[in-house]
Amino acid sequence: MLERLPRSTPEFEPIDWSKATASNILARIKEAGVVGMGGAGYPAAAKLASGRHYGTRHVIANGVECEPGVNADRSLMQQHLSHVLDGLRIVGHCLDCDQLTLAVSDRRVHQSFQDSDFSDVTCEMVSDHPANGEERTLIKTIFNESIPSSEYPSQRGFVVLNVATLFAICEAVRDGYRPTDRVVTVFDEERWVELDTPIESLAATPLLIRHGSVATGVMASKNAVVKLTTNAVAHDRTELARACIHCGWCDDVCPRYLPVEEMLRTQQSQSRQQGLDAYFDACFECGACVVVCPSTIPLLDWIRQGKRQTSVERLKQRANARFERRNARVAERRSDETRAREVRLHTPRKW
Amino acid sequence: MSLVVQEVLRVGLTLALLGVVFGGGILLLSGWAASKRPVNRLADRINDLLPQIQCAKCGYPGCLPYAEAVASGERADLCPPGGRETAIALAELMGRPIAEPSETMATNTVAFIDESKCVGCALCISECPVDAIVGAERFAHTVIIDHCTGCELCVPVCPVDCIDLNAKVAHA
Repeated sequence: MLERLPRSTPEFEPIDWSKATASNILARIKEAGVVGMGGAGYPAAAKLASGRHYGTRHVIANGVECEPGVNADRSLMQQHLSHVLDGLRIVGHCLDCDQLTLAVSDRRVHQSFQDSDFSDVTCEMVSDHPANGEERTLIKTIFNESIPSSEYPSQRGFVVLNVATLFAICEAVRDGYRPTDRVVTVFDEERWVELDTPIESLAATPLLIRHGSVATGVMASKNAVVKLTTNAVAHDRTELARACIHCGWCDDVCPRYLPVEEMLRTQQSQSRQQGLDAYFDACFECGACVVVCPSTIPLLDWIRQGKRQTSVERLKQRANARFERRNARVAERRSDETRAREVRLHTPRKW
Repeated sequence: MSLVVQEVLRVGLTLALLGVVFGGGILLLSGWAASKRPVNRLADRINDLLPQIQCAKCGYPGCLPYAEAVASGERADLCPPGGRETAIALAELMGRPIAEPSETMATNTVAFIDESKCVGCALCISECPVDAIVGAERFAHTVIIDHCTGCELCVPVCPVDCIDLNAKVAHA
């Protein structure tokens, strides 16, 4: 069992959610400030409001560990599965939806779910491939429906919430607590960490730290703190990276079939051509390539750099094109005026 | 003149005429293409390094004019939004000693028009180098943040000081 600091008296009045109206529950979730704790930080109340607006067929609790080496969701479910399921039921009640699904990738959680016999929730076991944690991929895996990237899943009748978010929703609605702590994978072990804890204070050694998992995290800045979206804190491995041996494992493992090795090569040699831009856009940063890399190259850092450059280049090109169009227009207008003046000058006066 | 000579002359003249027509055409076409798309001039390579904010803080009316000036000998450290990185990249490209710009400017900002104060004078619209402000005379204007480069050119011309520069926020 993970140790959690005892909590003070609830900040809000607990709600009996099975009798409460949807708008009351939504207002409470909004007031408590619950955001998507899987990493994106999308406000939960906004997602539920969107789900109500478009009509929801399935509510999915996302308990699939999408980042290699992170077990925060798994530990939370082992300890507080009933809270998570209550959160799922609250969301289902709020959205008038009785198709509740819990997606897990851990066999033990699956087993403990089946032992406890919850008849109102279906438990789906999916593989622990990093891509399965992404909500569109998860929907594709379980229900075989593709959501185009231009739409939110809630527009197609799916609401996917991370289990930590559901836990926070349950505590906010049923017990009246604002989310003030969360389970974080701190250097390969899970702990309850209070929000706004400086990340540096979690490390025993003064090594470089990544805010997030080894694979997908970003380098933590000097005064980074634990936020609601922080699911892991890890040591940086960039120092250990060796040269690429062109084994091609990253290409094989990529869920989007991107030429990861080629992207790395062009990025490292700074010789990138425009043709690769679409690949950089398509990467959704699952970190699978980093995990399999035998040279422990921080591939995602390079890809993120490429993504940034792509977007900057695109902005520059657009600004340049608009500037040229405007200049052409101004010059044309000016020459029109000049021509009109010439004509006026050479027209003999009538009087 | 015999028939054979006549025939030879005719074929020869026709071929010569065709040669002149097509050869001239190709020459003209290639000249036109060259005027349309100057291939990798020095000024264009410099222009690629500039941030394309079009703020005119360098004293030239935009990034391309400044790039042309640098190519013909102007100092390479006059770009405030580009800052240190651009100055270094330019110095390396031109093979000159590195000099850092004396002033820098925040990038990643966009203009914001307070529509409750805007009087609809359209002065900022004609000032914007990338046509990012929409509106008409006597109607409130607004900024298309996707196109705004944060060049600050619209700020000084506003008679009621209703334009601010805010940090650009990613929007879904």
